[in-house]
Amino acid sequence: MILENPLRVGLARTCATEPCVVVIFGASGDLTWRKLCPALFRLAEESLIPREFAILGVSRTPLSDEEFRERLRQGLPQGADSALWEAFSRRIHYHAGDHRDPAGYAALRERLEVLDEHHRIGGNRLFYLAVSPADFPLIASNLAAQGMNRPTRGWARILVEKPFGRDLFSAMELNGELLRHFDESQIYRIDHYLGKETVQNILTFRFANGIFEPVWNRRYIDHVQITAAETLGVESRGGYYDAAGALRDMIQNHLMQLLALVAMEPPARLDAEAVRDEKVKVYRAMRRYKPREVAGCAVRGQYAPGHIEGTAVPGYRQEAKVRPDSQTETYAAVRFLVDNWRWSGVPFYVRTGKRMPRKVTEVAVQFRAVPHLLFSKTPEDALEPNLLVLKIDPEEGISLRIATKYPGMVTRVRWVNMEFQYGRAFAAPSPAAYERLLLDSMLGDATLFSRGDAVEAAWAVVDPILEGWSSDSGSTEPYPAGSWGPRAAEAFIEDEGRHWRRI
Amino acid sequence: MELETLLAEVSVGHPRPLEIARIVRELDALEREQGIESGVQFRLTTTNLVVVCTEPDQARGLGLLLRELCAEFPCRCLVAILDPQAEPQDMQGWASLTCHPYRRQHMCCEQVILYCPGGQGESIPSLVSATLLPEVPTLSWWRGDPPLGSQFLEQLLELSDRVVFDSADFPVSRLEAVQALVTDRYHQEQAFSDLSWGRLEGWREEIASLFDPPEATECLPALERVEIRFVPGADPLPPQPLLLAGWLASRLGWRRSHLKWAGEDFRARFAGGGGQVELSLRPAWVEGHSGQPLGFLARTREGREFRVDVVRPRRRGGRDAWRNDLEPETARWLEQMGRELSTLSRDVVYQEALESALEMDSFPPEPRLEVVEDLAEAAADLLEARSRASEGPFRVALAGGSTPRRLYSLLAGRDLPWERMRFFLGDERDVPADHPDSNYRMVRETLLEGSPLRPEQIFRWETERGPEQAARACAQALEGEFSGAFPSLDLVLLGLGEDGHTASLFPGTPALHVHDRPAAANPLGGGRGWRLTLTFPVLNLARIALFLVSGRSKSSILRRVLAGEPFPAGRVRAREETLFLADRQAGLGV
Repeated sequence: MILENPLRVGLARTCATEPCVVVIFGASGDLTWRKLCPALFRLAEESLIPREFAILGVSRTPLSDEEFRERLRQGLPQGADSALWEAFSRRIHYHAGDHRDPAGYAALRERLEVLDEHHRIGGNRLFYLAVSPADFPLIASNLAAQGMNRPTRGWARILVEKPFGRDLFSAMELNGELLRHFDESQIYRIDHYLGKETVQNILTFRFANGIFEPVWNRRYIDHVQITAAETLGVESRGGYYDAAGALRDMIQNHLMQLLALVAMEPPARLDAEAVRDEKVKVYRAMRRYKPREVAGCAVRGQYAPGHIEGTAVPGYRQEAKVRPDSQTETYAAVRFLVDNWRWSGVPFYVRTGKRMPRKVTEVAVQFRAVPHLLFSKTPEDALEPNLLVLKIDPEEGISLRIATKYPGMVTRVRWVNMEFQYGRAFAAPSPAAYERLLLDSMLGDATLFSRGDAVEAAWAVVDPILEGWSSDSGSTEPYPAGSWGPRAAEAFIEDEGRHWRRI
Repeated sequence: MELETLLAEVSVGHPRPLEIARIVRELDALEREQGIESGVQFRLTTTNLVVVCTEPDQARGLGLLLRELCAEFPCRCLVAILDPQAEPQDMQGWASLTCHPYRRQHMCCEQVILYCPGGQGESIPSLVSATLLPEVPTLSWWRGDPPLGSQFLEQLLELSDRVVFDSADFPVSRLEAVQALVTDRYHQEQAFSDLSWGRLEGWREEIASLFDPPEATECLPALERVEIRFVPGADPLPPQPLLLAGWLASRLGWRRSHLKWAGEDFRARFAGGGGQVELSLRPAWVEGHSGQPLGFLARTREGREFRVDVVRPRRRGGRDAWRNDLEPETARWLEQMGRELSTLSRDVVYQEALESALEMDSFPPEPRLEVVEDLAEAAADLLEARSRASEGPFRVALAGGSTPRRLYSLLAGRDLPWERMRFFLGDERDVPADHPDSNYRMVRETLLEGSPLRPEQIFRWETERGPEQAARACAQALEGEFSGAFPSLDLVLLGLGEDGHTASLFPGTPALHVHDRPAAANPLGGGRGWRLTLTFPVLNLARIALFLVSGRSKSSILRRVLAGEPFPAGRVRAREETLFLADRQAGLGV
C-alpha cells in the first residue's frame, strides 16, 4: 500500500511497509532459524521492515522469549551487527502451544493482542505456516474460530510453503479448505524460485528488450530446454521425498513457473493479477497427455550408487527412510507442449534430477538453424543454431551463442558465447529469495506468489503423468549417481532429432 | 608530495610510464599481454571512470578506493592529477592493467594516470575522448573543488553521463554555481551526483519513515518546529544539513524564508500549510566528525514529537563476507559510490532540495578588495567604527606577525568601547609567552600596554602546557565566553602568507580539515614544529573577516586567492563581510 508521504519521493524504497506482526507456526523447526529469521534480520539491516514490528514464534516446545531469541541468533551470519540484533531481538517473542489444539488459539489471540499494544502494531498479522501441509486447514479453521481470519482492525495474511497438494484433487481440497476461511487475496503461496533475482529477470529480459520479443515464437525458436540439476541426493528428506518424487518436488511448481515466465504473453501491467493471469493462461494451454501417452513424453529415473566429484555416494534405495524397493523417481524429464498461437509445435523439454554431475539451473532457448547453408566448407555439424541461455543457478546470467569467422584465409565458422553475468556486471548482491518474498507479503504484493487457480492448473497438467507412472511400476530406470540421468532420457529426446544440452 | 608517493597513492596496479601520444596503443598492448599471461579470453567493462584530482592532496588514498571499486565495477579508469601550484612542465603518464581474481572470475581494470604540473589540464579532455570505451557509461568524478565554468570542466562534462562531486569539498556558497550547472539546459543529458547528498540517504529514509503511518503523515502540515542538529564543516553551515533542510522545505512546500544566525542556531520561519513553521539548524561539535547531521526533531502544534537521534550507517553483513575486512569508512564509501554508479538518471529530488536550500541560505558575500594608502590607519578606522556601532561584548580575534604591529599601537590610542572589548589570538607559535616570536607578547606590548584594557580581556594561548593542551584550553575559553553556544566572533583580523596560509592554517596541514573543535594544534611537518590556530568553522562564523595584506611580495598570492584558487586563505568567508585590505604595494595590479 502506497502512503502519500511527501518525504518518500525519490527514496530507494518508495512503498512503506505497514506495521505488522509475523506469526510463525512451527517456529522451533529449522526453517525459522535457518531462513526466516536471517531474512527478516537482513530486512531490518536494510531498514525495510516497519518500525512497529514483531515476530511471534508458535510451537509446542516450551521455550521462553529469551531461549527462542538465543536459538534464532545462531542463524545469523558471521559479523552480524550485534547492536542491531539487540534491538531486533527485543521484538521477537515466543508462544508455546500446539497448533493442532483448538483450545490454545484463544490464548494465542490474547497474546497477539498484548503484542499489538506493546509494539503498537495496529492489528496487521502475517501468519507463516512453517508446518506440514496436512496442518494448513487445521490452522486456518482454528484462526477463523477466533476471528483472526477477518480482523476488525488491520489485515491478516497467511503464507504457506510448498508442497501445495500432491495431485490435482488434494490441491483443490486444500484450496477449498483455505478459501473457506480466507480470501484468495489473503493467501500467499510461496514458491521460493519466484523470489530469485534471475527468475524475476526473465520478465525484464523479455519485455524490456525490444529485440527478443519479435523472435520469441514458433517461427524462430526450435525448442526450449529447462534444466534443474542437483548434485545432492535426498539427504534427510528421504521420508517426504519417497512419497513425492522429482515431478512433484520440482517440476509441478518451480520448473513450471520458469516455463510460464518464458512462454507467457506480455501482461498489460506489472501487477499481481495481470502477471498471474498470463501465467495461468500458459498452464491452461499446455497439452494434457492421456495416461497411456505418458511413456512417449516423460521419462523417469532413480539414482544408483556412483560418484559425485570423485567421491563415492550411495544409491537412492540405500538412503535413510527410503523404501528398498522404491520406484520413486529422482530424475524426471518431460516434453511439454504449449498449444497456442505462439508456441504450437515448439517442445519445452523440462528435466530435473538429483545426483547429477553438476549443480545447475537454466533455461536454454534454441533458435532454428539458418535456412540456407552458405558456408559449404564448414562441416555441417559445426553449424549449430543460435542459443540463448538464461542461467539461474549457480552462475546467474545470460549467454548468447553466435557464429563468427575464425581468423584465417579461408572462411571457417566458430561458435563463441557472449556472456553476461550478474555477479560481474552488477556488484550489488542479489537479495535472497526469502527476503524478497517476506517483504512482498508485508507490502501486500502477491505478484511473486502462486495463485490458487495456477496451482490447480499446473497440477492438471502433471496429474496424468503421475497417473501413467503409477500404473506402470517398472519404468523407473536406474542411472549411476554423477551421470546426466537414465539412457531413456537421451533416447527420448534424440528420437525427435534433438539433444540435451551438455552443461 | 613526491611523485613516487603520489603514484603509490592513486595506482590500482603496477603503473608503468607511458608516452602520452601513444596512450591508446599502449593500452591495447597491455591488454594483449595480460590476456596471454592470465588466459583471460574476454573481458567485461561496465564503466568509463574519469577521476580528476584538482590538487595532489586530493589523490590521497584514491588507489585503495579504486581497487575496491574496480573489483565491483570493472572499468577503464583515467586519473588526472592537477598540480596548479607546481612549476609548469609537460604532462606525465602511466598505465596499468590489473585483473582481480574475485568469485573465481576475472575482472580487469585498466588505469591511466596523468600528472599535470602547473597546468589546468586543458589537454585532458582530448585524451579522455580518445581512450573512452564506446557504449558504456562514462562517469567523471571530481575530487576537490571543481573549476566550475572552466572550459576543461565543460568539455569533460560533454563526455560524461554522470558527474560526481562532493559539495563538502568547496565553499558552500559555490552551491549556487552547482545549481546553475545542474539546471543548465545544455547539460540536460548529464546526471549529477553530489556525494554529500548521497550521504543523506540514510537520514532521509529515517525521517521519511517516521511519517509513513497515515496518522503521522497527517501531522506533516501541523508541524510547528523542526530542529536539525549538526556538526559544522569548514563552513559553519555545511552542505549536508543545508541540503537536508532544503529537502524538507521542498518536499513540504516551505517557501520564501532565509536562515539567519540567531546566536545559537541558524533559524528560519516559514508560512506552512497550517501555520508557521520554525526551522532551526543548531551546530554542535562532535569529535572526529565533520559537516554531518546529528539529530532531527519535529514537533507539531499539538505537541507530538518525531525524532531521529542517530542514523546507523547501513551495513552489509553476512553475504558479502569478502568485504568485511574493509574499514567501515571505505565500505560505506564503496556502497555509496556503487549506488551512484548503478543509477544513471537525474535526481529531481536533489535538484529541488538544492533549489530550496539556496533559497533559504543567504550565503556570505564574496570577498572584497580595498587598496588603501595607510593599511594600519584604515584598519584602525574600521575596527573603531564597527566596535562602537555594536552593542554588548565585541569579540575580536587578532592576527600575529609583523603587519598588524602598527595597527595595534594605533588602536591603543583610539576611542574604542574598551569595557566591552574581548580579544583572542587567531593563532600562536609554539613558544613561551615572553618569547620574541610570541604573538601574545607582540599584542601585549602594542595593544595592552598603551590602552585601558585589562589583561584578562585578552585571551592567551597557554603554550607552556604543550600544543594539544593549549588548543583544548582555548576551546574551553571560547565555550566559556559564549556560554556554551557556538562561538561567533564579531571580527577576525587575518594575515595572508605568500603560500596562501592564513592564521596558522598552512596548505597541506591537518588543521585545514579540523571541523570538530574551534581550535587546533597544527603540526606543520618537515621539522617546522607546531602552531596553534583557530579553525575554519570559527573563522567562517565570524561576522567580519578582515585580511591585512602588505608588501609587494604578497601581490601575486593576493591575486590568486581572489581568483578563487584553492588556498587556505580563500576558504575564509565570514557571515557579513570578508574584506582584503591591501596597501599599494600588495594591491597593485590585482
